Amino acid sequence: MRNIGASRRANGVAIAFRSIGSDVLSILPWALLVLTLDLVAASVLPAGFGQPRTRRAQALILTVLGAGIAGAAIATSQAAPLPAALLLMIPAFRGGEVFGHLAAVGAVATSIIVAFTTAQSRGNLTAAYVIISLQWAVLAIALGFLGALDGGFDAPASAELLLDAVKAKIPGSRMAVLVGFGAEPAVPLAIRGIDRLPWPDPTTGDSVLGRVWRTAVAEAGFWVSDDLNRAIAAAPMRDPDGARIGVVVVDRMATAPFSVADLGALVALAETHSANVDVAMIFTALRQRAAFEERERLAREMHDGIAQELVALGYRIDVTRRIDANEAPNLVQALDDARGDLSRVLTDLRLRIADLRLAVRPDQGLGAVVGARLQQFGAASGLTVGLRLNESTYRLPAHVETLIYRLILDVLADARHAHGTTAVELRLDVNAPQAWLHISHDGISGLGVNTFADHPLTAVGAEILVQPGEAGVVVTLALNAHRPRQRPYLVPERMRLIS
Amino acid sequence: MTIRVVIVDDHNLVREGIARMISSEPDLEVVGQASSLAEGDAIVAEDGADVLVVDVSMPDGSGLVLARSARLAFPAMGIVVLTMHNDDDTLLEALDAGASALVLKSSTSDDVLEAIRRTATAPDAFTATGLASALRRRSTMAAAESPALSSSR
Repeated sequence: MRNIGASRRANGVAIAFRSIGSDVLSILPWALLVLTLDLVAASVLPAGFGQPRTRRAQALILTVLGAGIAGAAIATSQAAPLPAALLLMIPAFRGGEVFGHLAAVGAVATSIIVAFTTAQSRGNLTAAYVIISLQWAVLAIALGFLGALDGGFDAPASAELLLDAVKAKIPGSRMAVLVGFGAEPAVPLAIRGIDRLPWPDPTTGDSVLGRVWRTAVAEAGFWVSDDLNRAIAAAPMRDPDGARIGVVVVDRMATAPFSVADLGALVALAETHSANVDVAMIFTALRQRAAFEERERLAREMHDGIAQELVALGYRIDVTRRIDANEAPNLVQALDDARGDLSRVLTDLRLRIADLRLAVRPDQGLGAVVGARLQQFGAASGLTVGLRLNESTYRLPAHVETLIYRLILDVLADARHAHGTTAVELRLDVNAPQAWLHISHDGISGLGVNTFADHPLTAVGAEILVQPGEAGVVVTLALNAHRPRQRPYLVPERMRLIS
Repeated sequence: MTIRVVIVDDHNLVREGIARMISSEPDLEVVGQASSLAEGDAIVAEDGADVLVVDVSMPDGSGLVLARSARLAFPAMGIVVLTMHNDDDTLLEALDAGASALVLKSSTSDDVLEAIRRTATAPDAFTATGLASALRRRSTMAAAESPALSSSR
């Protein structure tokens, strides 16, 4: 939660800086004032004087004051209303974030009242001015509502908030939020009680969790397996159209089964938090899709542009070399060297284009993408490549899959450039939310023990170990693997070896 | 007797580079150039050729489609598939389409010229660097995947 707050404070600063445009020097004092009040309002909440209630009141007063000053700035900048109008966003967002929807509306209303009153006293209140101001007011209210959205656009944070609420109302020893649209595999977004997933795969088998996943109807009951007898309750999360986007599930000892009231509370919480999780998931999906499309565009441009030009250049060198072989034999070796270098550059470029095109997509699991990449890598490099995959039907969150895939690409790039590499071996073991990766090659590696010390995967619970040695390098990754696995895999092992 | 070659590639620089290298060979002759599959299909159908050199990535589709239709219409024509894509799928699809050779664009002119000459005399054969490895990979993967997957899905 502290991170979310910091992120939002950063958003406030970013919005303020964006408002400082080219012809806005006159707005600068107003902007600094609004920004200062916003920062003070944000800081009094965790570190102000008095009881939490008092601190909230102080923050509210500061936010309203900031809104009034933003209104005054709008009234005094009719020639350039845009930067001043952007100031309106700051108290609106803060009001929404800290105090909810009504505060966002209140902050914007305060700004508009001050702006119109001031403009009228100056005799500047025109119809056009009113329309433009109201348009910006609507945008500011929308931003304020986004601020009021718990968890913002961070899907795991939204899921954690849901589990916080479940934990407060329904005693349970283990709980999780699993998400997935339609026939997509389930992705654990947040888990409490144990690192691994104790529940059966919701997409297969007849269990309480499976039935809720398929029918989107809440249910409480028991989960009995060889060594377990647990009470379980699950409620669906739905999008505005009623389609299931995920399930919140909680379990505890069978001697304390969940009551109808427990299930009702779980359903209410799932419904309350569904919108947050849904918006965050949509935002994540859109961001991913934009990234895929940009990568595809870059790959296409590289393929159709510089790669083809290098091919043509290679042919020109070949033709020139034939002429020179008769007329200037001393140039032949230099041309042959240049041609060799060019061929190596082309091979490297081709692999980089493949890296851009092969990405983890919603319709393909990490294992499928890694398999395709290893196959392509083996074909292009001529190295012996061994691959072992072991995946459960639970998937890792998309951004985590992408980070693991990028880590693999980094090690493959090292194998390609290392001297003396003859073989690459990769083992990937995914049992979401846990994952293990072991990738090694036998070349003289450029990787050091600290190469991946600050890798983004470490921020999501991964430990990455690089072990360089005379006979190559071994890179291992353990994600959420603080406890050893206690149960066998949910599906038979899938393994394959590429020679 | 010269070997008559048609070049189909949408990248002007590459097409002209290939044409220049072919023209410098006394036993080879460029009889047509095309920057699209439709144009290439028309040239091959109208003028005929001993060898068709075709790129895989074309603006109006895959060059392998033209290779397949050319193989059906002209069984004795040599078909050289030129590509940037060094992956098993492209290689095996070229084989399936009836191509006579697959040459990477990163290869030297000598490799391209050799492929043109070889396919002119042996259009039914198929040569490509890495063919054996690709076939081994494919058969190994199929053998490793089928029992586990069939039991888990």
